[in-house]
Amino acid sequence: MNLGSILGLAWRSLLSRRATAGLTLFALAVSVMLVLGVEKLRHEAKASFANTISGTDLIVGARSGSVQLLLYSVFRIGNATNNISWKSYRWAAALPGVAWTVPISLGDSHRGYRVMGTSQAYFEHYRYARKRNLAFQAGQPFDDLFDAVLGADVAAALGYDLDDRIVIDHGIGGVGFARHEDKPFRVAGILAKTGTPVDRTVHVSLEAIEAIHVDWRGGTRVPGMAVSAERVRQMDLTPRAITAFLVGTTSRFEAFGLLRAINEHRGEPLLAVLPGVALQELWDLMGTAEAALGAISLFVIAAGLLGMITMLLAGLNERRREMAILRSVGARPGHLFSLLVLEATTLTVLGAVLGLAMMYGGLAVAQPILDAQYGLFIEIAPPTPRDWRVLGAVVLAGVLAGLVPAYRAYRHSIADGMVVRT
Amino acid sequence: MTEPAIRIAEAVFRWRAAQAPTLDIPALTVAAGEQVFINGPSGSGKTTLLNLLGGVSVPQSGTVEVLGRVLTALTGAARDAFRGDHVGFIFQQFNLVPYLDVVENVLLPCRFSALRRARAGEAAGGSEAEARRLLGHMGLAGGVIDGHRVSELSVGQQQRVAAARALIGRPDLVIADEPTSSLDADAQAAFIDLLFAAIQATGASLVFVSHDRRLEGRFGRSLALAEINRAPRTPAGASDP
Ligand SMILES: Nc1ncnc2c1ncn2[C@@H]1O[C@H](COP(=O)(O)OP(=O)(O)OP(=O)(O)O)[C@@H](O)[C@H]1O
Ligand SMILES: [Mg+2]
Repeated sequence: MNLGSILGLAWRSLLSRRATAGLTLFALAVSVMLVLGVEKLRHEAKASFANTISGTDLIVGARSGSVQLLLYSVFRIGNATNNISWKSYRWAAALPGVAWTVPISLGDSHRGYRVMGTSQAYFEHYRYARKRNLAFQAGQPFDDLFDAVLGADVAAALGYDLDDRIVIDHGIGGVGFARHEDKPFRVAGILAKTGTPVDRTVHVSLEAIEAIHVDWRGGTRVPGMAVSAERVRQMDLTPRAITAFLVGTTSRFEAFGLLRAINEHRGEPLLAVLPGVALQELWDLMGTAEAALGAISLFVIAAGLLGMITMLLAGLNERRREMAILRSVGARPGHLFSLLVLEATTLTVLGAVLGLAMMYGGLAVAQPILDAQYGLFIEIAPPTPRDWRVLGAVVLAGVLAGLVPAYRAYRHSIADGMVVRT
Repeated sequence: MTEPAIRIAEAVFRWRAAQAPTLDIPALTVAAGEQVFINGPSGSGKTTLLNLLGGVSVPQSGTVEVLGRVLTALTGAARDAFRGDHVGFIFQQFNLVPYLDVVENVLLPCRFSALRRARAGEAAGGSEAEARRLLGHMGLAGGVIDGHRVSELSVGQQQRVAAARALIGRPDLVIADEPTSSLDADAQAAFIDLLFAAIQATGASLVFVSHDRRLEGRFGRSLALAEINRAPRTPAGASDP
């Protein structure tokens, strides 16, 4: 008696119960899809975060938490509680060991997208993924005071082209509340897609940020003090403050010395962080949530497997007759045991395969949405070794779950023999 | 002289240790190729006896020998394998596995017994042709066999499929447990005719039990279970339907 033959019986038996077996299989597939999908999202979100900044040795901002600094300066999540003075920035930029700095000034938006004031150095030194430089799909860096450079998603979502006019909204509260309509910008360049928050950012010069705010104090226009776009060009537009800045060092070893020097700066409380360390802190913060997700995944799989046990157990009573017939043609109780185990195995293997397929299907559907809505670019890659391990564990758990109905069938067949008492 | 098909000596069988024995058979011999009819009222232990002959149950004492093999000396697995190799069963009803088609049902013993698979495969055209030939012998032509789920067959047709299954791979012993009691008189007669013809073609021995004595005239030998069973009918057994 070979296992293949019993497998054939298991298959036929499941086919004859297409409806219930199909639903059970689907439930298993959904749980597998959830577990793999959640893991994929978690992994891709991490990768996407890790890919956002590369080649920067230090991030410097006003003193706050290092995770907070990382989030607002690089990921455009949340806000800075304080700015740092232009003087402190110039001081730090002149420290020995500093190769370059990129200033960042945040606070305004354009139709929901953050506006960032920076310098030409940004296009030269900002790197993402594996030390990739920003590239232009059209146009060039800002040159004129009222030039803007758009991230790829901003241009695509709002349908902007080179030389289009855009108006910056004051603050990040929303559209149309208070606008800098007296000083419109020209689209000078559009960046190529990076898969990072850069895609969702409008870049202008630091001077431009200063210029649109000369006649503003706090959240409102100063009455009777309107300064025209033409007149503002004649003014001194050196910024008074910026939000944060990125630092590149002449050598990696300089980073620690600079870190200490900046953090101990007397003039103004500054915070310098190593991006890798801040990212690690962020992962640690997310660790609890990840553990919770992991636990939920386990319960989801367990629920799927319980459904399968229920289905197989529920079927057993009406199958006693079938078992008796199999016994009469020479089946051992052990054969009936393996029949049930193989039914469970078949269901879980198919459930795992279908779940994997559904995960990829879901990813294909969700990919453009996540990209457009959250700037989270999910790469559709073949299953990772961890995915295979999860699938293997699910199948193993399925086989083990099959032992429950299998043992019942075994007991029945010993008690019934070839006669079923009805 | 060839081995007898069945030889039982001093076999005592109880379903539960504390209960009176259901069977207590001092001696029973069935010669090779013989066709025996055993009758007895409901609850008298006919099915229990067939369980012993098939090696599904073993007596607590005494020996059961089938085709020269002492079943009582074999392990459970060996008895199961022996049954698969050498014995064909036909039950009263619900003989067929619902999720297999007619031909697959007939070929079921070949899944569990290499011997019967080999024997069925020796036939011209292989085992599937052999299954169809046996079904043909039982009066089931291709039209009935193909494209029907077994649950769509009439009870009489199902019993004939079961007979074909009991005969595939030429087992040496065929055991029938009231295979005709859910058939009407005409269907009964037709079924018995077909079964006899098929059995004679293979030379198998036949043990046929029934509470219906009208059939006994057709068998070479007929006996009442009470003649060979010393166990008293228990009140529980007597009231059993
Ligand atoms: N699996 C079992 N467990 C316990 N007792 C059983 C079992 N099978 C049969 N018995 C008992 O053994 C006795 C004989 O039963 P058996 O089924 O052999 O009778 P039978 O002659 O085949 O009856 P019928 O003509 O109704 O089929 C009955 O008292 C029955 O209750
Ligand atoms: Mg009976």
